[in-house]
Amino acid sequence: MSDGWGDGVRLLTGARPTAVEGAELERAVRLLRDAAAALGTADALLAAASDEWGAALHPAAGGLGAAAVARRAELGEARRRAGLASVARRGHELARKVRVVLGWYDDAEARVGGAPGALADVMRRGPFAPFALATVDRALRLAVRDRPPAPAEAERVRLPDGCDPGLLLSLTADGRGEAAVGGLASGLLRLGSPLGALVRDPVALVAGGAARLLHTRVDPVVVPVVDPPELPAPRTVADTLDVVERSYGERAADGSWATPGVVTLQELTHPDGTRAWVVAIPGTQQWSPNADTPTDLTTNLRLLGGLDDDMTDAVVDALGQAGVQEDEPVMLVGHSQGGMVAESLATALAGSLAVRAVVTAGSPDLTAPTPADVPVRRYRRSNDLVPQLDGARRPLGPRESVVEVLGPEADTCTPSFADTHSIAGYAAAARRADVALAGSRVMSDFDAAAREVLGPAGTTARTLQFRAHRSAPVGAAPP
Amino acid sequence: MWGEGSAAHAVARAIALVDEADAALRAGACTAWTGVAAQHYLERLDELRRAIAAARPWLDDARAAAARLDAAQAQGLGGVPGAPGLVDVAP
Repeated sequence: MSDGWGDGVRLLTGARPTAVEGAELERAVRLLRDAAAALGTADALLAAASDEWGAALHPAAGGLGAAAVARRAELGEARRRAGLASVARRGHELARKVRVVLGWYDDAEARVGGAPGALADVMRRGPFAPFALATVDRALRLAVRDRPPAPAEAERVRLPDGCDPGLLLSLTADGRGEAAVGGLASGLLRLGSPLGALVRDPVALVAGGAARLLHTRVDPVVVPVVDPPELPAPRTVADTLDVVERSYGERAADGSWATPGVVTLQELTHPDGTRAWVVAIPGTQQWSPNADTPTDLTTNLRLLGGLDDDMTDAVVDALGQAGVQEDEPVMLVGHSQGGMVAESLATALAGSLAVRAVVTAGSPDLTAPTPADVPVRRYRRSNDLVPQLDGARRPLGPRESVVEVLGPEADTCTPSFADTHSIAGYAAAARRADVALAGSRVMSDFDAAAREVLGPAGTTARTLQFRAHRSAPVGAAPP
Repeated sequence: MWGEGSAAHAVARAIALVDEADAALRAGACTAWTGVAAQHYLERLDELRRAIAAARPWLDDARAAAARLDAAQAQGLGGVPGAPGLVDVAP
C-alpha cells in the first residue's frame, strides 16, 4: 500500500460506486484526533515521569543518587521503545487524510446540488422571461459567486501559506465551473428561443450550432514527418502521456506552436514479435476557429457539439498510412482536445481496429459514450477548468473510470490556467495516482488492458509522426 | 506538585490514555464507507492499533520502572516538600 493515500487522488467508476456516510466519516476523524491527542499526552506524561525535563532544568537532581538516575533512564528507555509520539503523529496524519477524503465527498454533494440548482433557477423564470441575459447572469451568480467558497480550498490544494486561491481555483472548486458553463449555455439558448431553457445538453447544442456556422468540412491532408524523434517504449500509462507531450513539439519565438497538428504513433514490437500501437494526440494548438491545422477551436466546438471533426479523420488517415492492422492492439491517448479526439476515434474505429484502451487527460466529456467494451481512463485535475467545459458530468460506463487528482501542487501563489492544464502536469499527476491508488482493482484492470498494448519488458518502439493540415481554407466549400 | 508516587501515577495516567486512544480507534473503524479509500483507511487504522499493541510491553516496563524510580527518589530525598522533581498530574 502506498503512503500517498488520502493526499488528494480519487478514483470514480461507473461500475462500483463508493458509498459513504458523511457523518460517520466525520465521527471517525474526530475519534482519530482524540486518539492521537491522547497518545501525545501519554507520551508527554511518560517524559515527565522519567523526569527528562526536570533533569535538564535541575542539575541538582543528580543528587538523587545513582539508583534514581538509573531508574529514570529505564523509564526514559521504555518511553522511547513504546514510541507513542510516533503513533500519535501517524494518528494525526491519518485524521488529516480522512478529512481530505471527506472533502471529496463534500465536493461531490456540492456538484450534484450546484449545477441543477443553477439550471433550475433558469427554468423557474419561465419561458417568457423578457431578459435572457439577466437569466444567464443569475445562473452564473448562483453557480459561482453566490456559492460559498469551497472549504479551505487553498489548504486542500496545498498552496503556500497566505496565498489566495484566486479566481481560477474559486471557479473550478467542487466542479462549479461545470455549473457555470451549463448555466451560461442554457441562458444563451434562451436568447434564441424561450424553449432553450428546456434543452437537456445546452453546451452541446450551443457548441454544435457555433461549429456549423463556422465550418464547412474539408478533408485534412496528412503527411509523414521526416526524421521524427525516437522515443522510448512507454512502460506505463503515465509514460504514454509523455509521448503526447512530445507530439506538441516546440514553441516558436512568438509563443505559438512551431509545428501544430502532429500526431505520434509508436509501433511497439513485443518480444514474441507481435505488434501494437500507441497513438498520442495533442490538444488545442491554435485558439482561432478555422485554422490551417485541425487542432484548433473549430475542432473543439465540433467535438463538444457531437459532430464529425477533421482531427479524428486525420488520425484515421495516419493509422492507415502507418499500416496498422485490424488485429493489432491499439491504445489511444490524448490531452485536452486530443482526449476528445481519442474518444471519438474509439467510436470511429469500432469494428475495424482493435482499440484496447483509451486515456484522456484534462478533456471534457463527449456527448456520445465510447463503445462499452473499451476501457477508458480519464485523468482530471480538480482545478483544471478545461474538463469542466462540457457543462455537466456524464454518467460513467462500466469500463470507464475517472482519476481525479487534487491540484495544483503549485509553487506559485496563484496557479494559472497553464499550471492546472499542462500535459506535463497531467503526466506527473498520473504518476502520483499510480502510487496513491496502488492496489485498486479498477486501476489494475485498466493497467492490464494497457499492458496488452505496451507489452512486457523487452518491448521495443519505433516512432512515427504525421502532421495534419486542412487542404483548403475552411469556411469555404471544398473544390 | 512533587511527591512520592508521582512517576507511577503519571505512567498509570499515560496507560489510561493509551486505552482511550485504542478504544477510539476501534470505534473509528466505520463500516458505512466502502471502496478503495475505505480499504486504505481501515488498513492504516489497523496499523495504528498494532503499534499500540506493540507498545504495551514497554508501557508495562515503564510502570515497573516508575515504581522503582519513586522508591529510589523517596529513599534518596526522603520526600522533602518542594524538592525538584516530578510534576504531579491530576487524573
